[in-house]
Amino acid sequence: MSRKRLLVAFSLLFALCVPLHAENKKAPDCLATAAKVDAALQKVAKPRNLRPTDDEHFIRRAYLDLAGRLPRPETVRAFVADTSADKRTHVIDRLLKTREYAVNWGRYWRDVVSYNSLASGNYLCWNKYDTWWTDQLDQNINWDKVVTKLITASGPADEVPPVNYLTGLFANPREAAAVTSRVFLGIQIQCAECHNAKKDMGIAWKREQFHEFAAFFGRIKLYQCKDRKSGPRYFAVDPEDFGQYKMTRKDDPARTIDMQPRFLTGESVSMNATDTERREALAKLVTSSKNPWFARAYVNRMWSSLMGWGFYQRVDSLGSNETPHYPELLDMLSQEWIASGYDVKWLFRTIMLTRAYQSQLLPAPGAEDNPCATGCPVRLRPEQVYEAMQSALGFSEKDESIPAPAIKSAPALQRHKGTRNMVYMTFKEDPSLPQSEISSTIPQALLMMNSELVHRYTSAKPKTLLGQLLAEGRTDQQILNAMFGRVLARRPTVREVDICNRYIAKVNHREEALEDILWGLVNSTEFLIKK
Amino acid sequence: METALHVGVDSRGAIHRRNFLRFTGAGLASSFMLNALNLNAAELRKQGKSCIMLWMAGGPSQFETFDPKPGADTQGSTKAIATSVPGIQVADRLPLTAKIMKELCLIRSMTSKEGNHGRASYLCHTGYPPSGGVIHPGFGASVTKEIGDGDSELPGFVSISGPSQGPSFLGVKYAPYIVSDPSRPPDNLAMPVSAERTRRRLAFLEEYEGPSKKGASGKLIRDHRELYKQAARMALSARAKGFELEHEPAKVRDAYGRSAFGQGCLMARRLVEQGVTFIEVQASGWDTHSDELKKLNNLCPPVDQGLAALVMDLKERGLLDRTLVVWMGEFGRTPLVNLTAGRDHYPNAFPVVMAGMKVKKGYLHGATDKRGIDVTAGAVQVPDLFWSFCKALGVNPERRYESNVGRPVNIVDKGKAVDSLFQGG
Repeated sequence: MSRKRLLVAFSLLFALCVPLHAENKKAPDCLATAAKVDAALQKVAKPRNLRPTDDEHFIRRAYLDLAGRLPRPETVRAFVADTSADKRTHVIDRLLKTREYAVNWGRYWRDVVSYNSLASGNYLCWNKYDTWWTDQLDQNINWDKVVTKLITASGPADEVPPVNYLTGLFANPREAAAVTSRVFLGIQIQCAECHNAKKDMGIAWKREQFHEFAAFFGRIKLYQCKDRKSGPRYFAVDPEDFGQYKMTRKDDPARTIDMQPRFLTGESVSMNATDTERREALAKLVTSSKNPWFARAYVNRMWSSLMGWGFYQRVDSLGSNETPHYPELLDMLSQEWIASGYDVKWLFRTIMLTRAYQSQLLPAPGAEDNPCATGCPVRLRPEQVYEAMQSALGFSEKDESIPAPAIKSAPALQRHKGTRNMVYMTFKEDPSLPQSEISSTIPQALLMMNSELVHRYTSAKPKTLLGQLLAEGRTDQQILNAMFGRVLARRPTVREVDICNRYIAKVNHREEALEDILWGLVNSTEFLIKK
Repeated sequence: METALHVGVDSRGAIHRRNFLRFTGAGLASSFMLNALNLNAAELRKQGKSCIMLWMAGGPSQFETFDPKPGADTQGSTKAIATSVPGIQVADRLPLTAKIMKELCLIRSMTSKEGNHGRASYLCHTGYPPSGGVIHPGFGASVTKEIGDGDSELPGFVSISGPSQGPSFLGVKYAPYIVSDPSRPPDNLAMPVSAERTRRRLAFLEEYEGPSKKGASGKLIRDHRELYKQAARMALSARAKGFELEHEPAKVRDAYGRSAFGQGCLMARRLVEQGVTFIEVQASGWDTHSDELKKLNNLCPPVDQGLAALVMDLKERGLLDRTLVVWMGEFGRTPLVNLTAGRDHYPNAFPVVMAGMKVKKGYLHGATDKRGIDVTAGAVQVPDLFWSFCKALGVNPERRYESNVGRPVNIVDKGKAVDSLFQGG
């Protein structure tokens, strides 16, 4: 074959092998946008010269952010030894293709929309809802379509999983309006439920505006499927074609006014509009690129999750008079995300490709400070804690011999069994809260310090990590390296090795000392945070 | 002066940092107000008051407990019996409580609009109906913050056999410490190795993490270490024996009843002695939509015994003067029995019992009609009830805290204390 033909053949082969992203063909290039983000941050945020984080920190961060678990020691070693220039990009791409990524973020979103739900089992079909969320992320359904499905779904909770969004709120129009605006638009409009919002708290939402929003949900019928012959009698949402949503008059609470459905940007539908027409109209208005909130709220939220700080201090203060940090950057990134077609994986990829994400972390900004041009440490979410404990300590989730006492809780959160349930219930937290409002609790500390689970698996028993290392006749250094690798996904520093060696000498009982050190690593702050 | 009222103050009288930054420059006037607040807080804490909430999850039927209607078609087969207070009868399912009625204050005229478990339970734990947005702190968290001992080695708010309601924006210090099963020590309080080895391990951890306190994760590490100090303090504290029922003689444990509820009441009394401020003890299963009478045969005796034993034990130990005891559920049950021999949710009229502190003894407040359909006198809304709790405990129901939605929220929704429940009122 001539050289020219070889070249053509090779280019064709290469083009066919380039992985296709589930992206809008006109989507901005992730790397190009990431470079724009870095350039923008360089202009407005300090420090000017960022230090890249080392490979060990990067891979742990990426695995936790995408797959929700620790990388295995062998994966870390291979990654560190790999000399290819774009190895970090490959890790991100590989993780975005896993079901683990979809499960991890499905859990996040399910908690976001149902964390404060007071609904019980008949209203919420947990398993199907969980699977639905996972599938949306696995198939990379664009975010505007996901939100549209949630707003417009009808049917029984076990047959049409997105309906659980409304049944979890008892299909109450006011609750639906409050949650929809708070979660998907980042606006807390529910203050205006009872009175006009005060001007000094932000955009002066009028009471009428809240109720006009609620009117979009005003013709939903909620009922229980009483004709089921077996199994739980789930609730269902059906479209009704009559009835008007009413707001009580402030001057005379015994009287009401029929409200016309009107969105926050002024568009309305007729009061004759059916439920289907109302909710479809609302979905279009909420997800439209013409309103200033939908894209910015999502970008702000995802940025906060990955970087540990948000452009807005809270994910739901877009409707307040708070000036966001670096507003031009938020706007630019939001526009690019809209151009991608609201592509969920696109945004993860773009943010994680920035130098800002891949740099060494700095402390979290104070309430009045500007955030740094890099990320800051963040607490792990409860299921990430559990996954980390599993890979660190090597116990099986199915092992029923491990005592797993757990507090009972509101039915909306009762989703796990066994040790996973125990850890989730102890570490659970509303994922929409800013980091500054989350603190560790005494039961969390007691679980890590004293639980049978941690005690058993930090002990030098036959089948445990330490037991095996000792049985294999490993040296102290090898054992320390193995423990740090499993628990913290990195090698110990020289200083840390020194502290451990001195401790082993002081205790003068090798097995006990090593158990104490393993216990110490699992009880360290580092184990419970992303850094 | 107006701004001072909005200042959130923690248990030591220190200003919440966020609020301080909002109201910087308020000047001398507000610092005077703050000193006044500080003094009041210190006074309250010296008094060592406590509250025990006996929570009947599911909504107990008033016909088969505290508001029987003998002779009415709605009563069913349960009979009424006399109590130690002439003129007050209770269902025959509560014989031990009947004997101690002269220590109790019975409200028969509670009324609310919330007939859904989640919403009604929220209302009866916070004093507010739920609203999409603000998550109100549990009343236990508010009370603990107001009058609890901020330096205690034990958490100020404990919930036994149930989750209660969290502290929301008041912060994790006021989260309920949950004891899932009172017949065994709380989860993870017992150390699996010796106290000495625990201390050694904690010292290792302190040295190992020491230098990182200056790094990017510094604040997280400092908070974590501080939390561990508190957790270790609790686990190693002599006061932790408040959770250990094995120190009680068998006859005392028998007097409360060897049920989960009975032992929970005993643990509550022990925790009051150890200075815990708010204890909730839950009894579940009261949601009797079907086979009600059969279920009540199992539900009533432990609660009857536990409630009576608790009140009398507190009295005999001289603790009743500084402990408020409350018995309540989220609503009552329907006057008409349904097709599955049960009663359904009925918030229209239901009873609550109070005892202790300056609450009147042997007193009946309010009434319902002959068939138990409506309240006929002395209607009490749930916020009014919470205002009354506040009056008993010396808590200001209008004390405001910065909420999670950027506006101040009072401890309890608008209401009015029912003065006639109190001695001298």
